Amino acid sequence: MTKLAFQNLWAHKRRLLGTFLAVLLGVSFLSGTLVLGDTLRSNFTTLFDDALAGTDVVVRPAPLEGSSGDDNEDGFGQTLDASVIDEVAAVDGVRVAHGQIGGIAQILDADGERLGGEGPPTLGGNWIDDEDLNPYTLAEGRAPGSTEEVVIDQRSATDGDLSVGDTTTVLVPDPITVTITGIATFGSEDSFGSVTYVGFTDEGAAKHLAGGDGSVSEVLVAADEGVSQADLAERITAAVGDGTTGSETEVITGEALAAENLDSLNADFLGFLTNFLVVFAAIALLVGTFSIYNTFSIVVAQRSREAALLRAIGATRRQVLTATLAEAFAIGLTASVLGLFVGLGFATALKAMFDAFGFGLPTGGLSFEMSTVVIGLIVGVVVTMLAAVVPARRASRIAPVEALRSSEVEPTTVPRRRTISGVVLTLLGLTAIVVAALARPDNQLWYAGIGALVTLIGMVVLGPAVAKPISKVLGSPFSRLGGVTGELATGNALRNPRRTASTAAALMVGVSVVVLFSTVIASAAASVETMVERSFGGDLVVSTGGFGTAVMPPSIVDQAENLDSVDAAVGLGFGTLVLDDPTDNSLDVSVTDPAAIADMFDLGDIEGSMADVTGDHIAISQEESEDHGWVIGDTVTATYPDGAAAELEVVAIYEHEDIAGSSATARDTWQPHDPQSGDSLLFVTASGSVDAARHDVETLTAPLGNPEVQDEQEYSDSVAAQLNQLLGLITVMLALAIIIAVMGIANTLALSVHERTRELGLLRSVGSTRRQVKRMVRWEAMIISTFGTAGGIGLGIVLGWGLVQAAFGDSENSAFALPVPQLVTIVVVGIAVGVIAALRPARRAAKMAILDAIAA
Amino acid sequence: MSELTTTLTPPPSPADASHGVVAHTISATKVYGHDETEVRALDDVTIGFGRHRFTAIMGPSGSGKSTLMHCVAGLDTLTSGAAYIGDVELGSLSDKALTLLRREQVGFVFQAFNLVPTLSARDNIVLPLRLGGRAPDADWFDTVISTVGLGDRLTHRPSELSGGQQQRVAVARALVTQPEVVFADEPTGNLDSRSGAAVLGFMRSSVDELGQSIVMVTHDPLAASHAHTVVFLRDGRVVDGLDDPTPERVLDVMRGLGD
Repeated sequence: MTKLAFQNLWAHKRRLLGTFLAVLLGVSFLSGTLVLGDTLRSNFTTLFDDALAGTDVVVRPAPLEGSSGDDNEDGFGQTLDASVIDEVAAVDGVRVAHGQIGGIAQILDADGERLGGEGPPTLGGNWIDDEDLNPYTLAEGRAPGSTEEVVIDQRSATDGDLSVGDTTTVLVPDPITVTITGIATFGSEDSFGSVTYVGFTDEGAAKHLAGGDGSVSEVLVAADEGVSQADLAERITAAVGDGTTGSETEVITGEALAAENLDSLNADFLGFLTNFLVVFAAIALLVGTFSIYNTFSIVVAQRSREAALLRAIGATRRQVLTATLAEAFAIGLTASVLGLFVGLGFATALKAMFDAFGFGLPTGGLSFEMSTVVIGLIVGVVVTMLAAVVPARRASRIAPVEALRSSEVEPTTVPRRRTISGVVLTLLGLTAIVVAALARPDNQLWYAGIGALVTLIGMVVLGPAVAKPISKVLGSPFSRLGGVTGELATGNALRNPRRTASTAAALMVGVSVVVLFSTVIASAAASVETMVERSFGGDLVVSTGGFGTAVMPPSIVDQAENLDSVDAAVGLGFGTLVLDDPTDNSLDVSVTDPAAIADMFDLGDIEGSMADVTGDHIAISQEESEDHGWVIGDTVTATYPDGAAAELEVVAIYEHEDIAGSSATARDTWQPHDPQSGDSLLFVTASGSVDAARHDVETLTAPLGNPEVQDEQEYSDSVAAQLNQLLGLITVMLALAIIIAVMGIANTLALSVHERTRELGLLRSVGSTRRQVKRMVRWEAMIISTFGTAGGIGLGIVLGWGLVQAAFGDSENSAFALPVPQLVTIVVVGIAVGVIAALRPARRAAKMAILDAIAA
Repeated sequence: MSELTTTLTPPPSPADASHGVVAHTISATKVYGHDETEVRALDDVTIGFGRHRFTAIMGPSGSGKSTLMHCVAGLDTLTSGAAYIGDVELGSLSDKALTLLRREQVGFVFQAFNLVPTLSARDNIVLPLRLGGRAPDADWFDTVISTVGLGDRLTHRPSELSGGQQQRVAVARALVTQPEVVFADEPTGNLDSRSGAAVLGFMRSSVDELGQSIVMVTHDPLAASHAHTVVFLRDGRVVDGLDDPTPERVLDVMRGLGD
């Protein structure tokens, strides 16, 4: 029987091409994402290992009680007193110990624009003149010799058109003028991933990055020959174990630190990226499953007489079942193996795409690991066989007597039971979504997610029952305009509602996900617009700095306010306090001029006075007040980024969080504990002409790497543009699912055309022109694709609404918006999908020789 | 034995040439394959089919009878020679023109699978007209319908009709455009003798009463006996002919052909 299965496979290879391609594409996407994940992991591992290759032990401040140990956004955490360096150096077995000072230092290129900062941080530190401890190697020039001399990484030098001897500006965040004395490579690479690097002298780093108090971020230690990392770490722990100057030390081996860095990267960035990609691979595979199921259903139906004949001559049911499954297995395996290789191409393409969308991913060869092979093959084969099980069982149930009849086994009627369960499931799913959206129970996202899944299943189950009436409606314009050809197309779409429905279902799934994302992003954009509209108080905003890039020095606020064209200016920086609270251990803090920000922005109802937020005072939002039970007069006990204890009295409680965030404190209160802190945003009100103010502010901030100066509309647009870029990325990722759906429709049509050969011959002989035949096939495809698109749009909007309401419904700026332009595009694409899918089948139908067709 | 085989000089005149011919061939030759595998399905056939006549083409399997019909009907092309419907030489027509010719001037009845399963009987009958965007001539349509004798079954789908009813619908479909000529390929091959007789009777009456012209390929002497004229083919050549045939006479000729 297995031999028969393979002979069948070969005989019907054209018909199974669609299945083959669906599996191949799905598996290649999946393996591509896995390869990309492994590649990035391996590249990062190499980088992190290199970074600490010669460092045997690191002594660093112990993490704070309750803190997760992550560095907060602006500062680089606590510091160690410099005296610890000598203590460590005195330990037996230490060849050299050097204090390391780290911080943010963003280089301006030859044109005065900021370099780097598109994801990976822009780091600065002290240039350590020890080959073991310093992962950077001078490629050119010499080490810095004064506080205003620096070494920069090769990539920054190349990208920024900077050479040894040049003078440029580094933002720390104050712009300082430095001379480049050397250019360094990171091992054999031009840079540490896409991280930019500025190496100062010890004194320079202390002055510019650490506030000049002599403290260091950590101590790097290299061991004497023959002393192991673990031994050395033990000895150092014994020597410095207990803390110095208020911050406890922690001793960790270089290897352990590299592993720790990698773990945290895996948990955050890589984990997210891999999951993100796998979701899209799963969607593509799900869509593919429909195509595979469909192809097998049709092929089995077309071979029903053959199966019946086998049964008649003595094959058991099991043998027929096994033969069909063996076929599925062979297709699944072959397509998956090929898919693995195509996946390598996908990985390259994905990486290129992420680079194009501004992610800075490290370079390096692709890692094709055994796990990818195993996962790819298993998933590919299992998906194919699962999709083939139902049709295969149907084939095995064919009665031998069917061999004598010409009836098809593919059922065309829809059992009542199926319709009822479809309706019930759909309603249950929708109810769960509505409950999640409106009632918002505690686990509302679970409700929404399960509701979405149940609704999807319900709609797929219900599909065949609604395929008839809906195809009739969708076909009516064709019938009206296209006469009998339109009627024939509609009739063909109607004649097998199950086939039509499951073909459309593949597209429905793809489209619904696109619509879901579009809706969520449109709603996010609308929320941003609402927020900006409601809270944007000034005329202009200057924005700089994301994660790990230089902000604006706080002094910029006064300078801006002193401009004649400027009436008022407020800066806004961000920091985090560590709370001694195991359930909620951090509090985001807006570092600003609380009185001024309350003047310029609408913070809603304010209890107490923002003008009182000076010194050891803090203002909190109503939400935080409710969450923590803080009221006016209470003291918030926390730790500053440098490890110092904070006792801040609540003197004001405000309503709106959109500008001021969870809490706000004065710049003067914050700055001593976070020397590199500055303003990420600067809001300006013009005294007269906004254009004049814009010109002056632009001139003022130009030395800071020309940050964006925008008015309300521009700011809102730029946020929307970022969201649209994200949507673009997601859409590209979903394109594959749509392509698989298109191939599914094309395949179904090709099989239908094949099945209707004699009917087509008849039509041609009684006077259908080739054009009419083509049109008939094309219109049938358009009915199917419009059916799937309409279902997908409906489902996607409902899911999008549910998700937006469930996730953000309680936020004050939450807005639901329909992505109208995208929806229009999707409808057009949905119809075009039909036309594209019909290209080949229609041509084949039209080309069919009449005589062959009627003799078939 | 009729004079048919001896009077094959252009313009060809069949047994009763009083109304001329609706379709004819001149030196029609059809060759499949080449060299050793060469098969001459039609070998220099010159023949005419009479207007207002019901002509049957008979012959043993492989005699070329179906090929002859396909070529005259414009479904297949000749290797050499010419086939005409009316005055139109088919070889000179494009696919589009051939399609339109079939739609407007030719009717077809096949052995099986004559009807589009998604259309009702009535829609199947008017299909050739509607493909051309024409409305059926009401009087003619009624005449055809009443002759078919389907009555209230006209709204039924083909799957709800018996084999005989399906073939009668097919004949009605072939007649509805008032074509020059109807070609039928074993129209009763799949029917029991009673249903077959009904279909053949209907075909005959459409010629006698409605003035149509029918060319039918068959291997069944009983079916052939419904025709006005029978022509016999063997090895791609016209070898005999018979007017006003009876089943016995047809059988005799067939025996003589070695079938």
